[in-house]
Amino acid sequence: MFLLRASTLLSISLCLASTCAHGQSSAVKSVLPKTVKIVGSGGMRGLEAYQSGIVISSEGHILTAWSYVLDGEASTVTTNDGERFQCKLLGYDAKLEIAILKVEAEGLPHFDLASAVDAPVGTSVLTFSNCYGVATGNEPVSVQRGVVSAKIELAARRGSWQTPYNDDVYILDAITSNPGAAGGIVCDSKGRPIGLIGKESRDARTGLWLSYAIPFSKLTDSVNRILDGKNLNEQNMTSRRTAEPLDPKLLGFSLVPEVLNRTPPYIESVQPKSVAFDAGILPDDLIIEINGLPAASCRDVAKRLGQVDRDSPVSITVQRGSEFISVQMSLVEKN
Amino acid sequence: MIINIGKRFILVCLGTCIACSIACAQDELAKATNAAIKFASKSVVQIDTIGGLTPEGQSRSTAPFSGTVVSADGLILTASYNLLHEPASIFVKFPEDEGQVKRFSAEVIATDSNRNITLLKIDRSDLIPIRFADQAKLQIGQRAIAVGKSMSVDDANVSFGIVSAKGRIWNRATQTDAKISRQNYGGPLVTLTGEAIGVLVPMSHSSSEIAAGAQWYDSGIGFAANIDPNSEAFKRLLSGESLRPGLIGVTFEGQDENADPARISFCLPTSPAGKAGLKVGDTIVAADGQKIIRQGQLKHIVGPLYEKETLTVKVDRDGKLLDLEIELAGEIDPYVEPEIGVLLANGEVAKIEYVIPASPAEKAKLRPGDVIAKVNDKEIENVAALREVVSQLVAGDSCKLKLSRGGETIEVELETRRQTAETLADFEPKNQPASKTETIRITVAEGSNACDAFVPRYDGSDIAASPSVLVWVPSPGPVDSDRMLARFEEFCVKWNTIVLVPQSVAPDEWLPDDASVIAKAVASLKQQVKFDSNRVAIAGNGPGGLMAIRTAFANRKTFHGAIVVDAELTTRLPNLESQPLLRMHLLIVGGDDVEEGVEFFRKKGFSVFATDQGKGVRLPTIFRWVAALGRL
Repeated sequence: MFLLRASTLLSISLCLASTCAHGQSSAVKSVLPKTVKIVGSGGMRGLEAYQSGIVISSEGHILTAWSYVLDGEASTVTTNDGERFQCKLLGYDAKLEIAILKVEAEGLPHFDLASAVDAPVGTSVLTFSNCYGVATGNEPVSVQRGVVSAKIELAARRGSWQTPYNDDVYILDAITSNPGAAGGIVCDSKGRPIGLIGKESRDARTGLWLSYAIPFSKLTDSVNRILDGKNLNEQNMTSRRTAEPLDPKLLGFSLVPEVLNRTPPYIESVQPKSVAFDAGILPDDLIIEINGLPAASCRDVAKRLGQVDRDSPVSITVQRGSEFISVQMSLVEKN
Repeated sequence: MIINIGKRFILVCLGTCIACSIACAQDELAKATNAAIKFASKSVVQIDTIGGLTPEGQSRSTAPFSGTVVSADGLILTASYNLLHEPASIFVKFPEDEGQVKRFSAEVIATDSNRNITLLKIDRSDLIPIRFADQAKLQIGQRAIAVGKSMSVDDANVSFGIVSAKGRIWNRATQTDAKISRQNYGGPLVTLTGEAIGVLVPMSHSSSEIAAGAQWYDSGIGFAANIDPNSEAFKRLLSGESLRPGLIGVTFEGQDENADPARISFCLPTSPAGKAGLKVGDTIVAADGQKIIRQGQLKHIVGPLYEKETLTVKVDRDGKLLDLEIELAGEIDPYVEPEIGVLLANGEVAKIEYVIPASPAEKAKLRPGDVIAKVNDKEIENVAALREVVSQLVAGDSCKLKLSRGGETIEVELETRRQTAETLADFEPKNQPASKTETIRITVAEGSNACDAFVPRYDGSDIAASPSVLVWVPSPGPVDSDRMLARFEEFCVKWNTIVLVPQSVAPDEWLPDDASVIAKAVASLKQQVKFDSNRVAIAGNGPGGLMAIRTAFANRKTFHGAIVVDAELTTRLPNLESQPLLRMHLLIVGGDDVEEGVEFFRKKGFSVFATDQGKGVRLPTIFRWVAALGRL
């Protein structure tokens, strides 16, 4: 039995060595001509004014990341064969953080986004990007290998901003969170498109750098609308606090005094006949979640409730001993 | 069998050249990988916490992390790193239908501080425990997959790599080049068959701190703490016993663990090695059946072991080989220096100059002028020999002394004690005061800061005694050498003590690098002036006091006394181990809230003297204390 397994492994690993080289190099050959290097005039001193992009039509539509690089007038696109084009910004989607550029060209090798595939966790991938702007002129962009590490909803931040996109992304087992990589492409080992490399970001909770790509299935609608001449989703960077937010007092409970940054949100008292009282909340309950979002400290509870309008119901999960209890509360029903 | 594999190998080689088999093989690998991930994922859980500390100066995340199931009835391992914030509540999350999550409250059952893992228990009995791989069959270069569930309750997040090395971190971990971070600490590193090589934890070869090695996240160097599911130790852990690294309790000669043999320089009789019958001077030549030529080899054998486990050793004692069994301990009582209660006269002969009041020596009626000729069974030829014998004793040991007094020989027996906290108010120097001091300027190559040393000088050559050295760390900034000399001259002359005054590089603070510059200044002084290396102390006031104690502990071979005047008594110091061959005495003068620090150093075994005398008597007290330092 062991012998069998060992030899199977052996054959797999040997094949891997040569087949990877063979299969992947043909994939690389087919993908590289469809990648471009973008240099912009936007941005401030100290920020890199370059990024990556891919050709999505033979007549010169370029899909890339919507970033400060494109802010200036004079962005240039350099194709894989070294030809340089002035480009114009056709449109962008601020939520997905993508933009489409147009260059005057014909017959360009391009990706058909309709041929994009879904990649399960564990899929071997190749990433193509001009990370650190190392490729210039007719130098091809950098190819890295990796694996789809996870497919999750993105919860990331850039500086102290929450990233606007918070839908599904592929987390990559490859380091693509690098300057210039945004707008590059992730393909499977056969060269089929999987996703567009996102901007440099950190995980909102762990602070670790995140290498992620947005699946093309999440981009196609938006791409088509931009191609139809529509700008989408002007980014709304204002606070997500609502005009009349909830707070613990309105619901009729109070938390233990906040003595530390991360004071656990234990309920200190519950006002009789309040919404919380009717919902069965008891003193010493530990709040775990508000509306499905984790609330790990007194501060988190204030923040989460601050995002809920008084007219909306709120669901709170508490831990009581080793039990977990979820309750719904609504100020409107009560009144 | 071997031939059979060989044939297959050739066939496979041929096969790889044929294009049609390519896709097939790749699919095979993908299938095997996916199967491994699926298999292992069933035993990986997401763990979340509520509340906890925010450690000083560090932003530690509150994000969910991973755990590895090790028993069907709810035992789960995770990296201790994940719980460093000491959360108020820990719970394990499982996916339910329709995107719902079911939580189970978890409690910490035990910790393994040798591998930095923590065992949790939840009240659920339908879990699927991970299957562990056979460590012996693991090959460097084989595929390894890091599996976590920190990103999603449903699906694992994975990172691919290979086994980069085995037996890392003193034989406790397997190294991989897969990306290892908070995203998978606590999850398993698995083989292509989905069996766990170990549990992913941050680790460092040079520190056993729980967070050590976390700075290497995603760097191509990651570690899986090895677990042997059949070991007694693992069963102890599962039964709820916290495990600590197994200690032998000896100090070896030499400084280079990769060159020097395991020859014992110090061994307390109460330590595991002492109890097993090992003695100073023994060389460990084999352990658990493996030959030991260098100390590092022994460290590899002891590294994976826990307290209460047994280590069999072969020792070479004066050419004879002995087989001994050491039962390892989780902690060793700190070394406490013994005090007989005498101060020796300067010079080669072990002659008593002063008998400390109410000490064992006074009770045994020892007198100034007595010469110590024998301790226990060892003849004492000089002070160095006496030091050597005393370094083998600990406070509380009794010893027999043979003294010569005038022409007589006297034998006494006394019980050594721990040094008391009192300074010696009536101890006065025997020697004539020096006639003058000479100022020597000391410069150190990498330091832009020069130091001045005030050296006592004698007319004539009748002074045989080497002076002691007191490094006085002033407030940061420029030093007025004349003022310093005026302040210290009378004491230099009276106590035959060299005073060395360093200057800070930065104008307004002492920087960590200044510590090594100060130590080098002492070394440089040694090249120019003769002094007694056993009697070098460092002192300072306020910020200088803080710098003094930092410098002392960072340079234990240079300094044997530290004096902290009206300053914060920090305990965040390196080398906080009391050792007979690296003595360190502390004198704490004044200062607010120093009691806790004093207690800390006493518990560590150090001799601490504390006094809150007023300003006028501080320098006399300090110099008297330095004069008594290292006199036995």
